[in-house]
Amino acid sequence: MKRPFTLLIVIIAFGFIVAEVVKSARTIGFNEGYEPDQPLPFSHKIHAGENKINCQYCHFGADKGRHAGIPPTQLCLNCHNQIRKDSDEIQKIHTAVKSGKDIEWVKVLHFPDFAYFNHSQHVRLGKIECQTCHGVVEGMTRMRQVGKLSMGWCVGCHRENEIAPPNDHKRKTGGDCAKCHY
Amino acid sequence: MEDSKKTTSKIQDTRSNAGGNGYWQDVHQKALSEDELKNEFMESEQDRFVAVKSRRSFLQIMGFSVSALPLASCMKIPTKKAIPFLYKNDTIVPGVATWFATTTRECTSGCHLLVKTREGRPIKVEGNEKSSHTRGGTCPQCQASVLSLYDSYRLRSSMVDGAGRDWAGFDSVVATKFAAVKEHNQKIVLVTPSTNSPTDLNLISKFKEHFGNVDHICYDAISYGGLAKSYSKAFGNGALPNFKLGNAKLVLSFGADFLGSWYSPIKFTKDYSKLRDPGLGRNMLKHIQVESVMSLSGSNADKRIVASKARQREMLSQLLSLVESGGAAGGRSTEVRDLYQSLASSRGKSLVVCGDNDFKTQNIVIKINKALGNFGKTIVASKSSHHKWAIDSEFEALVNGPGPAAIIFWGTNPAYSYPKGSKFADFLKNIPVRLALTTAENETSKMCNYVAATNHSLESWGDSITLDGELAFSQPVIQALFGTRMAGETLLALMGSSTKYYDFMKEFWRKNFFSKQSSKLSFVDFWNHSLHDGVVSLAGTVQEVSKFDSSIPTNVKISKRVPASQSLSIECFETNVMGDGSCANNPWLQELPDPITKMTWGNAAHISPSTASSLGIVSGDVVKISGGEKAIELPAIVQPGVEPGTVGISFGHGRSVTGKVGLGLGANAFGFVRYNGECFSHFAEGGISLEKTGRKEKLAQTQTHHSMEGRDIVREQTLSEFQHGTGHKGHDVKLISMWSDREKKGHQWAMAIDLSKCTGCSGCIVSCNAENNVPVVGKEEVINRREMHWMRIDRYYKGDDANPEVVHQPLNCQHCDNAPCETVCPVLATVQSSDGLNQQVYNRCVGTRYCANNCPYKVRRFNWFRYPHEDPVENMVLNPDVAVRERGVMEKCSMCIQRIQEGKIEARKQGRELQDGDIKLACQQSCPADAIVFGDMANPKSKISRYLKDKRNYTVLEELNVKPRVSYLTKIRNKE
Repeated sequence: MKRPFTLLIVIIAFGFIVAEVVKSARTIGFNEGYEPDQPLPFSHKIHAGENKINCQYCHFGADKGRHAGIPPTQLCLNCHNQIRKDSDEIQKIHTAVKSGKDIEWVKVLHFPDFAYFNHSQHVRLGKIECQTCHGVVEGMTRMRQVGKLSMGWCVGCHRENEIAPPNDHKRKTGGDCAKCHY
Repeated sequence: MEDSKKTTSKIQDTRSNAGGNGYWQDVHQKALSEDELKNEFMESEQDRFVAVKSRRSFLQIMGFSVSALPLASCMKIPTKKAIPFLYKNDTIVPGVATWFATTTRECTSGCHLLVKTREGRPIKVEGNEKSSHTRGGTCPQCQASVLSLYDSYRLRSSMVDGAGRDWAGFDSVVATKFAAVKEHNQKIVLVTPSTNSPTDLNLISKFKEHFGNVDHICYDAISYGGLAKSYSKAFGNGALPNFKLGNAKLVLSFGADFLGSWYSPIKFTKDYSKLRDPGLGRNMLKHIQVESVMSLSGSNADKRIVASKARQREMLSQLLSLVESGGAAGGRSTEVRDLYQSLASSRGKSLVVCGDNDFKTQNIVIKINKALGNFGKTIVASKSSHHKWAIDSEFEALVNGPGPAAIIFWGTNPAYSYPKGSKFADFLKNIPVRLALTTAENETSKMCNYVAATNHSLESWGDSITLDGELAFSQPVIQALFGTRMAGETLLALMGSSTKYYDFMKEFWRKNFFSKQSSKLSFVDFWNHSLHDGVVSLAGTVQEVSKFDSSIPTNVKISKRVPASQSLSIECFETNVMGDGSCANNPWLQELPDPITKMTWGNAAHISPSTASSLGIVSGDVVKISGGEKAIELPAIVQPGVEPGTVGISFGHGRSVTGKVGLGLGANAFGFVRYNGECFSHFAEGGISLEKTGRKEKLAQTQTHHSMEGRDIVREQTLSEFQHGTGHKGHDVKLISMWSDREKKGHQWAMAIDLSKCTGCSGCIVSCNAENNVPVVGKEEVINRREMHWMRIDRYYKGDDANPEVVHQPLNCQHCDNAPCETVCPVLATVQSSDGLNQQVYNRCVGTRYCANNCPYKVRRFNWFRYPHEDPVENMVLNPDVAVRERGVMEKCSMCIQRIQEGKIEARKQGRELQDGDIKLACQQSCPADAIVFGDMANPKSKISRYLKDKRNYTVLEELNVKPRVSYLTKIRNKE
């Protein structure tokens, strides 16, 4: 070999790339801590924290079906027809409802399409607190992703608490994948 | 999930009728170019594999992929919007399905349905079990109707002389034209199919009153004019038959495909399958079919006689003289005598049906049934229904007479289905005002100067009356997608009325039906209950007639028998897949294998093996068939069981004006339909020639090997063998296993399919497609054996190829306990669940295809390409609970795992144990024959446990010891 030094650099560089790839590949798509700007400065801290509005007053789908849902815009006006009616930000809601123009919220939690998650199964049957997965939402001024929303994150909780299916992911030959993946 | 949320926000009030347009554009963020839309169903070149040509390009691609990974991790995730409803709709909870009862008008039966809507989108239809007509069964066409709804080819606006107009503009132009016609008291002709909607008929009579000089002419593409005419003559005007197969012990069919497409196939199949239970012993229904082409019914018959149409007529008239003389008339062939013996031994419990659209032949059938005492038992003549009442001579006279001043085509397409197309074009040319009411451009609307874009039946209000006099509702399950309106509203607009069709219908119901019931005190209550149930039975809707005119002529003309080699005849027939061709632009139907030929994407000339060998024709040879002025070219298919002198061609193909799915497939058989002076006969003889063109075409068949190679994949027994317990094998193989049995805890899912009941109709396949987002691959890929159907129905022939016995066997993933696919997967993407399902994990699969190679049943499907899911409208049909699979991923039947999970969650929510029957799989629900049973075999009281203990139970390829969870019940033929 004529240029051992070059070869060494190539090997080190390659090793570095591989390490970097492995490291980064493990974090792709988890987006923990994602906290995007929203079209309206809605604060969970004020609503759920200070005023103690029940989560399911707005996210009424949580105990009924798959999606907890983002509340219909008109639902805001149940209170805001009276409360802080004249604030500029609240006026935006009034305008949206009057003009029929949607408010386009930025999606915070991205649950992958290849997995199935049912809110009602957890909220109604499992009696899990919303905060268990979503963090202390009542303390958040702006909504933030708390958990990883990864498979390990789901399974971790199920394993720790021995929640059905307890042993599925301990089996060496796999388990009941199709409970979530279909 | 993403999609469903977006759609949620956009479809705010699905039930309202306010015109809404353009909202579907937002279903996908990706804006599609015109070219991409055009390429909807064809694969683009880029969509194929990236062909790696050299080492250099391989390294390039590899280098890019590797460097892209760290880059991807640094990138910000793309911002996605989440758009909630503005207003909350009471019927919509995101992620929870809402069901509506309705009726579609896609098929002959008029199946009564429950439509599953998610976030306001209809995504699946299921049979309505409250209906006494179809009793929860559905046909392939109705199952596919949700896709027709989202057809991008549908009209988006009305047209005046080919240019789009809004409704106000359209109405002012067309209403002026009609007002002028009225002023001069000129004739208006309204052409519809034979409608059985009481409200529509009332609307038509109002229309007649308003315009004065109006003729309403019914025209059915596939005519039942012979049947209608003979019942009218025999029992008085307006009488039609209602067949009650459920009371029969013997059914003798002369060329009527009553299980597939004839008259009311789903109702027939429900009755038929119930009586095909060998547990009934000697009361098990016996089925004899006499026919010239192999039909779905013929393939299920206990005894099938091959006879040309001419011979069938001869047999019928001989049978009549035998029946009338009590068997005394001599000199008949043993074949006819045998038929007579069978009929005579079940008087009053037999049913003779005939598919020949010939007045005198149908008269013979009426007289045979009359003489056998079947009327009032297995047939009832009644004046209650308007099922297939078109009288062919009216339309024929119209086309041959002087044209009216204005003509309206409502939901009918004679330019395609009328035999003499050029004559029809000439007739139409001289009519100044030509209005077509249609959902999509077709051959007729192209010839019309005014085209009113109408709603799909899933967007429309309506009603219908079944053969048994039951009233059925149609209600819109989604707001009109394309700014179209209901056909009835266009007629009302022509009359200068601004009444909505909904109000018109409600008023009609208030006046005519509310008074006929007493259980509901207020009309609102009555209306809402009927709407909720979808069907309502009222007293006094059935008007049976018993007055019989025995002087109906039976002197049917029987052509002389000549050897097949000297004279050919053409038999045009309807299949239960393509029907009359109005659904030709539906890719699910085009890709659904014909139950008999297993052919997709087009039709073929069915030729018997003996004729084929004497003419030197093999399957795939393109032949030219000429008869009269018509000549078409079609690939031949050598079809066992076809009468040697007959060439069979199915209807529904060869559309010249339709969307790109149905365009240019097969050839139009309607050209060979002949008007015989009374009816449109689907049988042409004399002057028929068949010649090879020398060209070849590949047939897109999903099954090309028709033999079981001596293995008992399908087991069958005769009834007497079954009763005496002979010839039965059951679970007879001694099995030694390398593996210990799995621990069985909790639910253990299993499926059983009763081969005695399954007719092979293939409705389950379409149902599965809709439920599980199964992609359509197109003709070329079917030829490459890359079809994606999770369920297939294998059809095997047994015996002589001139008249073989046929068996149908549905085959989906067998969910083996010792699954051979699991052991070869290098990434554990397919594993068994604790409840006995063989799971396929798409996000783990790397696409080695080892599993498919190792599957003894060949039920695994590989995504060779990214199949098009680019059409924003069509994507609305996708089931949001099932992942859309990517290219390079294996998939297969999941036993509708989403339904199992949903059923379990629902039961737990209600605080109870899961009960047998809570979970119904898509295939099982739609099956009109109730042949599929699914349930928990760990529950000893469940239906599936009973089926597993049945002595007919067996598993396919049991000797492999893969322990399938899907088992079959031996087919029992009702013969000695």
